[in-house]
Amino acid sequence: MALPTQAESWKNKSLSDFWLTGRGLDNNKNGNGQPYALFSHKLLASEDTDAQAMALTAILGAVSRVVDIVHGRNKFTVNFSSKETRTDFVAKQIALSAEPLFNPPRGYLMPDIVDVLTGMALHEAAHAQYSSPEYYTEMPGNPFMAVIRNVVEDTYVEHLTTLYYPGYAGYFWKYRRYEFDLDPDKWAHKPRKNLMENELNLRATDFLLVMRSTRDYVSRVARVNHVADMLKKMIYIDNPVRLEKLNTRTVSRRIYDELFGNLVQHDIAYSLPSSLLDYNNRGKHQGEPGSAGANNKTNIPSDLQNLIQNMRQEQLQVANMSELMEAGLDPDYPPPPPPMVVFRRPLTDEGAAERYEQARSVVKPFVIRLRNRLSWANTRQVINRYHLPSGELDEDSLYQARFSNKIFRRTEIIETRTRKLDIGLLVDTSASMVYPAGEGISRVQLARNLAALFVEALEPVDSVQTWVFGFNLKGAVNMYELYSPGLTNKARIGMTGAEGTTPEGTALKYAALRLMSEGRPFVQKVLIVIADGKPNPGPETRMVKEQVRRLKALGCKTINILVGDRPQEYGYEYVIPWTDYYTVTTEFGRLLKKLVEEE
Amino acid sequence: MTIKQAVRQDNWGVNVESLPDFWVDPEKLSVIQDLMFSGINVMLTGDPGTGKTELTKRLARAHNLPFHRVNVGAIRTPRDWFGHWEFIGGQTVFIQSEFVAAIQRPGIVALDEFNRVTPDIHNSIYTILDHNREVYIEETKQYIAVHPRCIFIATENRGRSHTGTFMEDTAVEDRFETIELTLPPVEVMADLLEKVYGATPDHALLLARITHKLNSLYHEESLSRPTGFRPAISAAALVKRGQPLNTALKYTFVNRFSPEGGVDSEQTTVLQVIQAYLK
Repeated sequence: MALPTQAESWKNKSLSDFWLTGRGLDNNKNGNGQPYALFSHKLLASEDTDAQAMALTAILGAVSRVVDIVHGRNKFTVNFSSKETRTDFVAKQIALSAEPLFNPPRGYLMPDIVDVLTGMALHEAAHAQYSSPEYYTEMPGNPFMAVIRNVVEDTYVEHLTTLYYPGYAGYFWKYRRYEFDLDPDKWAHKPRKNLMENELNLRATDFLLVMRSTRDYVSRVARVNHVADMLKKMIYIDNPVRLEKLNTRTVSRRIYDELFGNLVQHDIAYSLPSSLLDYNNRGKHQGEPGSAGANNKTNIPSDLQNLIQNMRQEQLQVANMSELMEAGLDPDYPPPPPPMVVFRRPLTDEGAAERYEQARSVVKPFVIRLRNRLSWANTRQVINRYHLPSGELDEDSLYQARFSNKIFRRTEIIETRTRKLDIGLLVDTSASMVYPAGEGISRVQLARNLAALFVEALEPVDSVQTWVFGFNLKGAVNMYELYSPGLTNKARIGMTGAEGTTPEGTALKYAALRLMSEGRPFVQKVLIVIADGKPNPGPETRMVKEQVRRLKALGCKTINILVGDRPQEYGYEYVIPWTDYYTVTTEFGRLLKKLVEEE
Repeated sequence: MTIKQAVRQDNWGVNVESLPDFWVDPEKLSVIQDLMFSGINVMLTGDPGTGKTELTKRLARAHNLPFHRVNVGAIRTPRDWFGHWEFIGGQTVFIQSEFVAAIQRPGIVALDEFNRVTPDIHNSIYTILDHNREVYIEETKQYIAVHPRCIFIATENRGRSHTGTFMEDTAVEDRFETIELTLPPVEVMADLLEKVYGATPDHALLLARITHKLNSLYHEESLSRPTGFRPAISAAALVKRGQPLNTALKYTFVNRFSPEGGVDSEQTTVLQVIQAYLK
């Protein structure tokens, strides 16, 4: 492909480094080329399925974006699924083999693997873009013809893509090196007893290698080299428009005639070597009916696969999360079962705004009360005293100097410590929240009212930023982002819906992660949890205590507002049992004031 | 004097085939000129950096017409079109705006960024823009008639990335014929970058291709903002001043997009696009 001098430069560097690390543009060899930072390699090696899924999702996202750039958006979805790379043209899916990720060849680092995957995806998409429809629909009955057809088509689509996007040429090269050159035994010709079959196999195999190998493979059969040169002359031209007009079917016919002459007798069934059979099958882009299960055979554990699918759908911003995970609240969580955490931004339903307004009207009398608590703590009081016999001269009182010596004033400034707060409110939205919390009010309603109270009271204060998350476990740990500095539609707080169980530990951890990633640096973080009952038994309950401890060590305050029959035993730094708005507001306000004032 | 006589006298109404150092689709260019010489107002839309404002200027130059540009975004109240009150010599005086003078003489009046203001600001010039072509100015108690050879061309940015713009109401849409400008095709753009902005042929082609791909990604909603001619011009300028190509690309194309989101960020997308065309 292209000129050998150009190929030279691809061999020793990873192409994906260009955008994975941002080193490409900066030519910055020594450094970590932030700010386009990627995930870390460690994530993939991690035991944590979450982390693995995040890394895989990030890779998939990046690879499919390259495909999008070349072939247009939403034409194909790229997924890890089959053992072998293949394309489903009906469902418009490219299934990438995860083989390079899970069995990386010796010396392959993550960027090299991403290169190979990108090459695979681009190759498949190139077929979809440039191969004529008959290439998929008619498969030659003659197996040798099929091999030739595939080789010609592969070379053709790759070169065509390269002409339009010269910078991506290296990806094809990387893919071919991975595929055809790493394991010489895989493709080597294996002698057969039948002399004719042996000759045919040898020519077919050698032709494949001469065309597809990146190591300048030269066949021992002169005719093969000759035919390959002929094909190269036809395909490796510089004019993409002319190349697009090339009929690969005719070309294959000619190549076939040149390569085999009249050696192949059509009344004898020759068999292909297994390597070439494999190669042909890969070219067979339509799954045979009935073999769907076999086609979707995957080498990725199914739970991981599900996580990836989920994350792709939710379009998580996994990259940031994973960086944080690395920075590490805890490296060894979780022991089984690993919950998948999904941040959702729910669409507001019809009554949401109304319910929020209702909640707001209930807590209205307490909003100012709570805000004042905080504002008092955050103000600078200036007290001017006049008519003093000593102090600063008060020029406005000079008129009375003749009668009195009280012409001085003194200014006393009481600086109350101003402190910024990032406050996250975690609202339990598990199924038990539908039970009543008091007379005529359900726990969901109460939690909503409190959320409204906090947001209404605290959000207008300049030094405070507020987040509100709902959480429950149903299928996955769902973190509903109800309010945040980036999502200021308060109607979301009016969302109802209580289902699933209480994954309190996980929720705490991920809410803290969000707060730390989105909040302001070096600002006191406060997490308030409104929950009823107990968290899920087992690891979750342990996690709560552990997370509270960890957060405390990180300087993050945790406050628990107890609703329903919840015991006080989870180690939260501050606990406020629900009694009535007045008491809770006062207590909470006092607490906030304390937080702001204390060292 | 009728328009027919005027046509006989000078070049009024004779279309130009092309504009020097500037590209518009030839068909659009001729339609725009036909419209404006027929006394029909033209509204130019299109992504930023497709040359809307520049085109109005170039048209005035090509036809040798006086040019007056109104930055509509700076107009705050409906009466601002016509002038403002000033306190001079112990009394308030109404100072008439240049706009009022401009519409009374032949020439092109460009209403730039027409939808940067709320539609009610447009109300006071509706009578100027429709077939009446006259307006009564309260402050000076006089009727102003628009000169028959005064041409109105408005420009506006439409689209999701434009904050601070307002939807047009139908009254405005009725008074203009809308023509959407697009980026020049890759080859033409490369040619312009080479001839006008002094880029080398290789760089010009690269910049043109990157610009086109990024803009198409915007239309596919893979990127949040469109890419017009301007970053390519800046990049060409940087390279001409001796900056390496990579640095030029970084400060013009890459840094316009957000780095948020690691591998999923828009900057990464832009880098991937740039890589596709770098040899």
